[in-house]
Amino acid sequence: MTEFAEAGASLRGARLRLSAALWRRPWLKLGLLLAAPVLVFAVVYLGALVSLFVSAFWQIDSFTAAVIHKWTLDNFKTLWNDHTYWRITGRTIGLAVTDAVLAFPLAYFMARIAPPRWRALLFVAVLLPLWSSYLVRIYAWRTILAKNGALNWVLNGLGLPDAGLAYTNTAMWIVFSYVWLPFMVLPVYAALERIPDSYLEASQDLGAKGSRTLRSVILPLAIPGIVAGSIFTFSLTLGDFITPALVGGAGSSFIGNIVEDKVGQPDIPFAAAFATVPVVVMGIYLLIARRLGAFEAV
Amino acid sequence: MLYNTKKITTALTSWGALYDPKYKGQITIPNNPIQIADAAFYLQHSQPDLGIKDPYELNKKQFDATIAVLKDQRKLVKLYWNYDTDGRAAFANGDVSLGAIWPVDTLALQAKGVPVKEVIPTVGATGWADTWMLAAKAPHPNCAYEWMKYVTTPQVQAQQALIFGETPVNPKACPNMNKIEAGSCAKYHLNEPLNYYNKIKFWKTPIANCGDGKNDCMDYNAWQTAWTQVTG
Repeated sequence: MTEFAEAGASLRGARLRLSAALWRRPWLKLGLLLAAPVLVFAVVYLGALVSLFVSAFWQIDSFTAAVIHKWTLDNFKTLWNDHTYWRITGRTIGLAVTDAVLAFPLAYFMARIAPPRWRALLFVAVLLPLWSSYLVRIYAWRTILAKNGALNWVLNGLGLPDAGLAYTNTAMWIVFSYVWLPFMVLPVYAALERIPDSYLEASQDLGAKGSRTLRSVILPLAIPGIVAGSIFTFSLTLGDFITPALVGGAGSSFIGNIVEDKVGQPDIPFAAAFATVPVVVMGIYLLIARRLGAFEAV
Repeated sequence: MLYNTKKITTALTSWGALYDPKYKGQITIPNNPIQIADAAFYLQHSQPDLGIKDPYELNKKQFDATIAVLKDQRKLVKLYWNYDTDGRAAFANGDVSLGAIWPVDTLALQAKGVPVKEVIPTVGATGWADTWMLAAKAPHPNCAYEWMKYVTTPQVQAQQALIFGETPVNPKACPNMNKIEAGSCAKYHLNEPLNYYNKIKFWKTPIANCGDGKNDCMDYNAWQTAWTQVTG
């Protein structure tokens, strides 16, 4: 019996010593708690990014397409000097910006004007697309926009000419706006909903017109939501290649399409070099957003 | 070359149609750097003074002339298709009425009742051969030979051709194909005379050394870069 008691006591003693040690050294406790996730983050996430950056400085053999491990800046020089890549980057960023704009009026309507029952319906309508696959929705858009698709059928029925939207950048803009809308509407809605009515009344009492209230009261308070939403939509658009490939036409290539082409050719180093562009763009955007105070709690 | 006979009523016979501003916004072209060879092949016959002998072996001057033609063509192109099914859908939906696409897509579209006609201009066309590959260091070489023998038998060739939609290499597969699907041997051009195959310029990787000892041909890296500049 005593043996067991002694063993139990020593076990208890060890546990007490351990907890005391952890209590005395809070950093150790934190370290043990975070070790696993940090390790995964470092290896899986940063590791992938580092290998991306490293391979961007390599080259390939033009016949065998084997990667030559020789350090060179040629890929970046090509990116910088060839205006093709500027054009593609500009197109990608331009679309990312414009498809974020649509969401604000809708979110404003949902948050401040719509009666509660409408609001619930609108929420379902905004979220509904997320319940089906992204690919299925893009293919659906393709059949809608096709020359003998649903849109032209309706237009012709009304006696109007064909819209001719299939395989154009306009088609791409419509589809992007549609697929990313929920990601933009929800954060903007959350920000708008939190603005107290009294602020708007105060603005009115001080003689401000609607547009002035929007500029000086609503927009500044909604900025965190707009930034949060646009971070989602920007990063999703900057990395996308499926929408341009399926609904875009000649001259609709995105950064993602070129990366995909280069991986397929295969020219992994150049793909890696071009893939660093969205990383840089997002970095700059986040810095600007911080300047605007988007990450400070309201 | 494929075109919609309802939208384009004049019979097309030359590759020039794909570069003709008359068909602006109605053309589809494969999205693949090897497509540069198609334009080079067109120039080989329409501009003989460029001296193009092989559309896969182009020196700087010939290459630049070809890319210039392709950049003009881009203004006419509605869609550079990535998968042939995308090109096929564009034909079926009426978004394009002329383009370069594979014979298997012609058959698929005709089966769906789309009024399309396939043309191989008299000068010929570019084409490619898919290959079975055997591992050079196969652990059981005898099995590998047995397998090679098996896949080249007429029956297997016929089945594979019809499932995949390509012309088989063994001409003896003709009766087997007809047995599986009547008339399929002619449909897949297996019964064509030898000069039909001689007119096809088969894909090959462009390399700097193209046989004249000068090493001045544009290699596949240059082809890829130029193709991105044309389509991007």
